[in-house]
Amino acid sequence: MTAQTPNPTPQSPRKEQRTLTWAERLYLPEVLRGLRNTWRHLFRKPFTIDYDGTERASPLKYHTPRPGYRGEHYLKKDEDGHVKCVACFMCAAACPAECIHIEAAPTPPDWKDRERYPVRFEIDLLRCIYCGYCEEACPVDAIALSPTYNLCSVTREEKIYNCEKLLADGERYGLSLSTHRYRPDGVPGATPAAQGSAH
Amino acid sequence: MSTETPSAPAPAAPPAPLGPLPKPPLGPLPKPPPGLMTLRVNGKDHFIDPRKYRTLIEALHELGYPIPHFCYHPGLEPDGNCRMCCVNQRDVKTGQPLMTLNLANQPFTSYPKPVISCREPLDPRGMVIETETPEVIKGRQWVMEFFLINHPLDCPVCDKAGECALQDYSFLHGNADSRFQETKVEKAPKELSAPEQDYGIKLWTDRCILCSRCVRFLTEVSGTSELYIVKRGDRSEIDIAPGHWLNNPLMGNVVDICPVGALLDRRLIFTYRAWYFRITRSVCPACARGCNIIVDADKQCVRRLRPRENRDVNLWWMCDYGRHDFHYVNAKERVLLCRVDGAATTDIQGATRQVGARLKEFAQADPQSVAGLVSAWLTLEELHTFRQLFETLGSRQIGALAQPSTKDEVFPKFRIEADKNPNRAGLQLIFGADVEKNTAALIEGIQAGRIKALYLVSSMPHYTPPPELLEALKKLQYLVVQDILSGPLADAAHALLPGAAFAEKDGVFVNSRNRAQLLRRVIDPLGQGHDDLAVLQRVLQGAGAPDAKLLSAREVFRRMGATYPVLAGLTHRELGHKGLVLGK
Repeated sequence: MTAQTPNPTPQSPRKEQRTLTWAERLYLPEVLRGLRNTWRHLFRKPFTIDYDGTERASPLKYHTPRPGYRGEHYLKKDEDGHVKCVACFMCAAACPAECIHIEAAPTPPDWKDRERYPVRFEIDLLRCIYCGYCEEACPVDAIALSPTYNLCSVTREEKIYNCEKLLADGERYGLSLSTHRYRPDGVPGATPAAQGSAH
Repeated sequence: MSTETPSAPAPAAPPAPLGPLPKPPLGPLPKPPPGLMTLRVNGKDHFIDPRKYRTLIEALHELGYPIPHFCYHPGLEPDGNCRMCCVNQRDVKTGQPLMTLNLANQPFTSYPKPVISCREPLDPRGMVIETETPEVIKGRQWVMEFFLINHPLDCPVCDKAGECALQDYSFLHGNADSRFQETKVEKAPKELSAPEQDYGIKLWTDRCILCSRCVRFLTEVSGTSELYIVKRGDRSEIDIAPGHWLNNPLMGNVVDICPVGALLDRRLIFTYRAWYFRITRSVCPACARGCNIIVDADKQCVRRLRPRENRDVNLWWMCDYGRHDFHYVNAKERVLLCRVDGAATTDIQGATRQVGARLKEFAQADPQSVAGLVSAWLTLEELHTFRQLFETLGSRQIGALAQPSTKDEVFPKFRIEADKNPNRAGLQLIFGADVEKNTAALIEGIQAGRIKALYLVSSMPHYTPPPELLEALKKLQYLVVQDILSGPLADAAHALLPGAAFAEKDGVFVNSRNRAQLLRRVIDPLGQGHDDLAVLQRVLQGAGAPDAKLLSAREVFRRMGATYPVLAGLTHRELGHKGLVLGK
């Protein structure tokens, strides 16, 4: 390179090799010192948690995400027990990953409060990027992102959530009627069970 | 609309005060060329022909000034009830705004009088118009505010959202929030068509802004006058006489011209969102008139047809027969696979090659033992390729099928043609005027055993073959059928090839007034990716035609000028969106 860099990054000077003392060159005292550390930690309470796989049923057992955490979606119900969604496609229109698939239909005659509801509401969580735009776009506050942070599954089909699954998730969080965002304090079911968590 | 006078006490939070009136334009109007008039818009002079335009708004739109409007529609008589299109006019001589007296104030004051541009006739002596003065802009904001007082603002659940004039103008001219504190007047939705009818119009009464376009359309264009406005003031609503239903073959147009989501097609309610549609300009295939349409497709599915303006063909309208005649495109009965030797196959290249070779075998034994039947639903390019095929085979036995005609339906400003075939004129252009009369002779030839092989290209969605034809087809040694829907013809075939519906192909239709119009591909061909033209070209290759190539419809049409003098020099690009009359 002929052109000189105006402000060259200073190279860190090579650390001078410290000559080891005679005791250090023996190695044995150092090994024993390390072993002492090992034994000390062996009798302490572990930092890791015993992950028994039941976490799907109670997602907040081990860890409570911070407010505003964007995990898996859920749908809310209204006072009559119907899905709050009116199938307006605003979430699907706002979705940058195009992972929300809705089919709208006229409501059954006994739904007095509105004329339109989703006969099919599917979220392809494999495509979802958890940006939360769907929640912001929703004009009736029907969809929200839950604190469920565990996003793994065994099959691909499991990750395509339909309306029933999303409503059941909402019931499980006890958030189905709430009109505010998820908050860990004050919302039933959202308090962490494992107090000993070291996080 | 009220106006703030200078003496009125200022409100607590005045919304953007009116600026001073702009300076009058300098200088007298320039003298126009003979026959024209001078129209000065926002200080710029235009010379226009006053006889060409019905009212001021048409001239302004043509000159590129986007005057907002709700009640005005170029195809209907101007009404001037919405007051959205108001502009300022100045006196030509003095340059002062036209004033009106405000009788509500003592002593009387006067203020600039806006003119309703959709009702204002053009003055051949010259006009000075201002479209973007503070008064005009303020006036639009007030009009929008009044419209939105009782509008339910249910855009998320309204099907019109995304293509709604009220929504668009609210973004452009409206306020972010409403000052209206009182309760909105609630009006229940009502069915305008008989509930037991499968197709009809539903009225969301509360969304209506009473522009009266639907009322005027049904009075002027269809002449049936089913709808009218009842009650007064903010309780006014569109209604239909008790015991009567909205039921005429043009009623679908009121859904298109409704500027809001008040009138909706019952078949389409809640099935679409306008912003997902891919829009393609095409031609309606349902009759010989060839109404210019827009095909709205979502992914690979045709969802809606609606008319587009062509003042030489269909004005702004189309009939409901054509509007709803697209469900066969994505129907379950579509022929998607080829069938040769009694087995269905996806190998369309092999199947077409085999069909071409078999036809050639028959032709080599006796050229007149091979016959062809085309339909009046094929484009010019396809018919031309079919003709090339039979020139290659050496046979002249070509007949044609067509869907039966009904009766003309005549309305005051619209006519639905009796001939239900989109390209009968094109068929006669390619094969001569008496091609359909050959069909009887062909059937006779088949019955007599003179004709042994037949290539039948139908692609007609509503064709019921006559029993004598079906009877004759049984006697054939080799029958090739190319069709879009499975039915008796497809069942009778020894070799079946998939056809393409109107939304899957490019091409040219010639309508009953000899106007060549462009049909455009909307979705990919469902039959193994081949439309009718590609299938015919592959059969032509299989029949051993020299220099037979796979060409696009555009290229085939360009080359057709050499064969047909009336098409000489024409290309798809030249036909454009509105078509051209042939031989002119």
